[in-house]
Amino acid sequence: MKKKSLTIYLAFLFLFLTVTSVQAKKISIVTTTTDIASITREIGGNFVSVDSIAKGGQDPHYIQAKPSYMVKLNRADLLIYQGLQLEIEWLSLLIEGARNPKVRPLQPGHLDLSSAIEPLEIPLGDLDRSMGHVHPQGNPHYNLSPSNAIKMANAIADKLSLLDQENEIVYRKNLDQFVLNINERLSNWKSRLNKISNKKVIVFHRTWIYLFTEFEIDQIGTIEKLPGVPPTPMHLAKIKNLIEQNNVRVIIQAVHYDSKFPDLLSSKTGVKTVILPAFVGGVLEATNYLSTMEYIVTKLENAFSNS
Amino acid sequence: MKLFGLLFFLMGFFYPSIQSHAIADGKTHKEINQLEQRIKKLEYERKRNSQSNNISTATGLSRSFNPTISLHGLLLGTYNSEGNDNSSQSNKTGLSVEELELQLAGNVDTWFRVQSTFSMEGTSQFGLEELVGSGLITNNLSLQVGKLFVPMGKHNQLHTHSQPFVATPVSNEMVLGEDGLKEIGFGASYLLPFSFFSEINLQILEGENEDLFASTVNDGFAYLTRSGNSFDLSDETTMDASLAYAFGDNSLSGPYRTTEVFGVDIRFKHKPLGREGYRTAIWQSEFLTSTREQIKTGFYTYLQQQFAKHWWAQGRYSHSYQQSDRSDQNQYSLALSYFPSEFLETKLEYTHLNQYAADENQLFLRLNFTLGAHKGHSY
Repeated sequence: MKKKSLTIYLAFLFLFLTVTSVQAKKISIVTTTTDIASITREIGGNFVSVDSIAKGGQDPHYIQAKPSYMVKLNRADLLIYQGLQLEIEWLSLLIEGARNPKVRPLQPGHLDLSSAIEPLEIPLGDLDRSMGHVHPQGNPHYNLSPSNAIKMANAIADKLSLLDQENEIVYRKNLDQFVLNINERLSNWKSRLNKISNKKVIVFHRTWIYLFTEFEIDQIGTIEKLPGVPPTPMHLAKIKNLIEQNNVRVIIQAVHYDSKFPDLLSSKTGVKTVILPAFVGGVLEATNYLSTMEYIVTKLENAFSNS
Repeated sequence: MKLFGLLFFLMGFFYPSIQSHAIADGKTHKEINQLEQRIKKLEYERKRNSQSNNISTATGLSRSFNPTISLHGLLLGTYNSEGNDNSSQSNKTGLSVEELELQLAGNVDTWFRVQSTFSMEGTSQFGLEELVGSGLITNNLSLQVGKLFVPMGKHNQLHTHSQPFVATPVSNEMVLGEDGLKEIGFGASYLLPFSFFSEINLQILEGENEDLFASTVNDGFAYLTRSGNSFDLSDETTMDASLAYAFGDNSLSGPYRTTEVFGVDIRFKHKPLGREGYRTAIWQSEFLTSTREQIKTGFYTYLQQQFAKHWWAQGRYSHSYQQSDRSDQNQYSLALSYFPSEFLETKLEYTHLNQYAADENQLFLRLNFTLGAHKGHSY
């Protein structure tokens, strides 16, 4: 009887130690946005635990540097962020407050994903604040292009392979699967949107340029006068004329913006306002990267078809 | 002619071999694609590097290593119902450059970072307001050295441009003095390994503040310990609570030669998810007391509400009490702020000061701007 108990005890002990050692092997990753978190989960699988600072419906420009985020970063092995100054208001405060040497710039646990993509809308010439909320290194919303998601996934797989060489094969395999999934869906999304002839749109903020480049959608104006600067009545009148002259049928804006101005233009011109998630989790249906893109494409398809 | 014949012969000889090789090795196409990607990436890097290299001074030295520089300007118009025949009156009627703050910040090297703030009150008094050198020693532990905004309560740690009201709370003026508690010293802060944010600060300070310390002996230092904590009550609401205690020699002798200062502060902050840019509510309170030859105490409590993207409304009550003459002050403030952007603010504030002397009604109109590269403010 004693022998049996001892065997059971040892079996449990072995199980416990195995489980805890497997848990201990997980790479703890903090990302700034939910899109990066979703792609990282796809690549890292069971070998990573991932936490995003921004929630899907939040505007990542204006996240508060809450002390609880410093605690998250304090325990992280790896920080992955979008870059191009998307997080400029708050990320350096969090890194400083986290007091974790691993995630500081130039350390192996620090990954700026913008180095993996080719930025669009890099402003030329001298910049100053009269130009609004400009990003000198380019538009930071590159996550909205599925082709860029592949590049992001590649950079993440490279980094995970570097930090955890033992499981490199798994990361590469997961990457191949992710790329396959994206490519399969991308051709479907393109064929659905390519059927639409008039794809001229007005946007509230310049969030969507990478999405539009991917799907050949024609952005002909922004409701904001300048990035981050609300429209004047004169600017709104100009946008109204643009809508009417170009037979624009759709205004697009992200979930985290107030729809006051798009609604006003809708009421004056009959143009349809489409509210889209700019990140995974922005709406309930957007549970991961693929479902977010599917949601966006379906909403656009319906908006163009029904208007 | 012979040459053309030879060329045709060679092409005919090698072409099928090249073609079959390419077909046989399916990787070639993929490799070409990869090479194209690498070329594009290198071209982009070259473009980016040439852009950053162009940013150089007349001497050819790169500006990339310059510190970030920002200038905060505070232009103030004041009306005060009292003391208009007294030129030394605080918050007196008139127009003024309330303060200019010049900030320079950057990494000295891999280990050490410096932030300095020079301030000019009015148009002539220029001086060093803050100089903080900091470095991460090991996991969770960082050191600070320099002229510090001592973490005694929340208000004392704020530069003028980031203070929520124009009028300083009477509690802080009474206990910490008109200029607050800014001391030369060094200290350490340690992030405790808890599931919530909790840090301990320990500081050794020169003890120059004349209202509190100012020891007559050279080794009469002041010492501070503080516990700062923050709890997320939900994704939208955070509670911060801190306790601070400082003591040090002062200029007196006998039983009153040591001053003790105690501060406690609490704040609730609510930001609805997805509407961070449009709505915020903050309730903050702070209690301070000091013991020297007499006890001085005070507290303030305020409520701030952002009710539209660019608009804030706020109200504050502050009270101070000095045991020796049993005089107390009650200060009521109401303010409305308009932020066209995060770099510009216009504030209209009314403050009523109820005190032993004649009550004062103060009206402020302030323009607050930031020029240059300024880091976001702490939470």
